[in-house]
Amino acid sequence: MSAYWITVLTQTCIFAIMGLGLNVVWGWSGDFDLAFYGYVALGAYLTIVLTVGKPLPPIQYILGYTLPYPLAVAIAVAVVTGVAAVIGAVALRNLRAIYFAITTLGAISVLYVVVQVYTPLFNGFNGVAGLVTPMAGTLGLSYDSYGYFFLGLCATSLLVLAVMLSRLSASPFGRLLRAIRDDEDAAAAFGRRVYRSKLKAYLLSAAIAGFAGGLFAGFLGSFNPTAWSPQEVLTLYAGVLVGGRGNVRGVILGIFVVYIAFIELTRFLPEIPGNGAFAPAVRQVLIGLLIIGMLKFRPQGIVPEPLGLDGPRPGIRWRFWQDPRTASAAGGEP
Amino acid sequence: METLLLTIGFGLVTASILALSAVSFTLQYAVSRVANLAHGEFLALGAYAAYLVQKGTPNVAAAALAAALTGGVAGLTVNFALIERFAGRPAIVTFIATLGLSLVLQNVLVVGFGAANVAYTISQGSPHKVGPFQWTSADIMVMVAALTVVALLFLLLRATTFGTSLRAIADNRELARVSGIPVRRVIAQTWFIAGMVAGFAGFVLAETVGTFGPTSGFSYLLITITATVAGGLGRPYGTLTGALVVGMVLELAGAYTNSSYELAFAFAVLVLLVLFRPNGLFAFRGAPA
Repeated sequence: MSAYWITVLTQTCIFAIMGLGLNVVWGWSGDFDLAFYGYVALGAYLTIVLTVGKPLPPIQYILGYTLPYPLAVAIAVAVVTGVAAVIGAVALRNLRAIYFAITTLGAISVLYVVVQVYTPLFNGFNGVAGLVTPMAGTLGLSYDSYGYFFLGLCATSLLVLAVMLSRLSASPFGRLLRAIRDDEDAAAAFGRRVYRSKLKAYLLSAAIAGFAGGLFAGFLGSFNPTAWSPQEVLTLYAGVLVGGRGNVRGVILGIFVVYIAFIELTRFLPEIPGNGAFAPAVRQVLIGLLIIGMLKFRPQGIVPEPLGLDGPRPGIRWRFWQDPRTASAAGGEP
Repeated sequence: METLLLTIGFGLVTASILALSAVSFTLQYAVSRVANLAHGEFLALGAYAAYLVQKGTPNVAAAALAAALTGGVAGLTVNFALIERFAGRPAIVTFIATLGLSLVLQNVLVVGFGAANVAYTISQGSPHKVGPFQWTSADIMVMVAALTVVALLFLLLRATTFGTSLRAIADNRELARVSGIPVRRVIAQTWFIAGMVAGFAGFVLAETVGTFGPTSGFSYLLITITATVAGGLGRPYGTLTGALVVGMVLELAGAYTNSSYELAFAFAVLVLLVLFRPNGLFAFRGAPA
């Protein structure tokens, strides 16, 4: 496998983890969260400032510890979840649909401005850097084998998370979230605690975002505001929409299709002299059109979420990639 | 005290631009029940159209007209190509589609003009002392233009058949339809007019700030939404007051802290509003829409 493909696959695995997080809040809980990428960014920033040590002037950022990478990621996830608890508590209490979306858009816009303008936090516009091949020293990895190691780490994380979320999707909690998404009043009338369940889902989604941010930081080595404009989240939404909102396997498939297709396609775009932003801009135009097209023509995605009585069931399914309905019809699954 | 009065003067200018943008947003919402997240791009299209015209001629009126027409055509096109196609779908779906559209338009501008801001070199004129306030000639023109546009809109809404139809549709679309109002046409006309106001607002904003970039419109969207929610979504008259309040808050907050944090203050206002006065500052039981 060439170094190029290792990079592409690692990156796509990380985006797929983000997609899974987004699917919890948007797919299951039904809340159009625009602050999501802010949690990814916060996770990435925190992971870097917790691992790379004190800043050298004129660079400045908070903390500046030299913690081991896994511990830093864990702390980042905890802090991100805390921030999400504040935003979620405000936004989910009685705001829904458009009001919720606008509030979360406001939250990430403010976070974006503050991180850019308030330099002592994360070094403002220049961002933080210096997280080079985390854990390579501890594990005694060479530069060549490190790419494989990190890809393995991301792919394993993705797989473990996918299995856990599939189980959660079929669990009473997963079904409760769907019930609330489809008819909030009915769920409330049956005594379900709507706000509490939505907030739980929101926190889970933010924690996954923070974790993905930690991996992203390890992959990129540095992080600055050009890596996360508030609209970056739309590419994730496009991936989730293409794959199938609410469906774990669909989401992973969709993210892989969208990201790899777009990374590959934009390689062949011509360079326009004097407009360095040409290729990324074309890519964004296509993402926007993809979102509109999917919403219009196939809002359920390539692999729709199984619904109704044939829907996700509790119980361990070892053959994770097989549809539970066809599996039980074939008598292959307990 | 001096600072306070000067700031209030600047706040009036900010509020004038904001009022144009917010009235346009709220008119679209009133007839289509869609929060158009591509609204910021209407401003951007208007600003870029004015930029192109100004490269050829120094005539300010020509630039303003070009901005308004571009915005109007954009409004008409978006209504036909997007909003009507999503008729009958949940509001949030259309909302997400307009967000996708905003991404498309923004990056079409990047493809056409590059990602960097373009400069507007209109003369600001000399500062005048008007009572306790201090405005440049350009500031005064902005406020006069905004007042004129708002007055025209008021007349349009109150004194024409079109205005009556628009208000009827905003109140109850089905009832309007069965009463023989050509709903589809009135909505399209509303999008055209709202687009014109938005394009003009983009022109005014660009001239006041001095530069404009592909993402400037989107950055302005959150402030616009704040003003709109303050006035009550879909209520054109309330929106004017909302713009005044939000414009003042932004200028005052910017004057006494760092103006880069304007957005943060706008957001704080927005959160307080949606939590405590989601129907607007002036929504009272039985108040007319």
